[in-house]
Amino acid sequence: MLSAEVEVVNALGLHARPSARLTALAGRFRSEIWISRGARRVNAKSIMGVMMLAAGRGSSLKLEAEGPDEVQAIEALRALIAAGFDEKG
Amino acid sequence: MIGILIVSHEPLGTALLHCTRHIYGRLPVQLAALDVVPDEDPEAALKAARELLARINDGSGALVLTDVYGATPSRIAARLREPERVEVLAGVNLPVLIKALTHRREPLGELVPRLIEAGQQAIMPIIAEACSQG
Repeated sequence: MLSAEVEVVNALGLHARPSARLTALAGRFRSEIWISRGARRVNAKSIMGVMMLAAGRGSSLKLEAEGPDEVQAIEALRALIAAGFDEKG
Repeated sequence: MIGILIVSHEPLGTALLHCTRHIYGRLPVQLAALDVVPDEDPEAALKAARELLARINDGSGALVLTDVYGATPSRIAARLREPERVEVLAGVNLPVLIKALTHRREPLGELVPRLIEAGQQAIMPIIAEACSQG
């Protein structure tokens, strides 16, 4: 099990479009992946789960992955979130 | 892959399609909407719905989502049902549509109960702090 902390930096936070991108990326890995914000922990491959985090800008998220490609999974997701999903602002 | 057709009051179906395009960055394939216009001939609408359904169904089955149970669009939708091939679900909302798009590679029989659960879970009170930052 690997984990990493990352902050939501884009202006609109983890709204629908970034959630779709995040879950599509997570779905490419064989590892099980979770994201949590505070006490709420969801499957990173579930778009409805990810949106339930209702994570706005400045939110701190914890990524966890377990499986054969956990290193790559954590790095890819961390990079996507840290880059603000390539959204403006 | 299961085809998805929304049969609803105008302009809900096409509005939901626009939402999916916004979320996924492109319009998902095998997804269509029929907006039923007030005073439209139900037989003409049914014919249009059948044509759309044929276009989005690749043989894996189709799901028809409609809005208010008992209203005209839902009665048109009901006539599209073919057990185990075309299932019809009322109460469409965006969470249900997203869930359907996510799980459309599953068998139709498993998708329907999953959507019912997802749609019900999506209706909830929003507590202010849940959406706060930090």
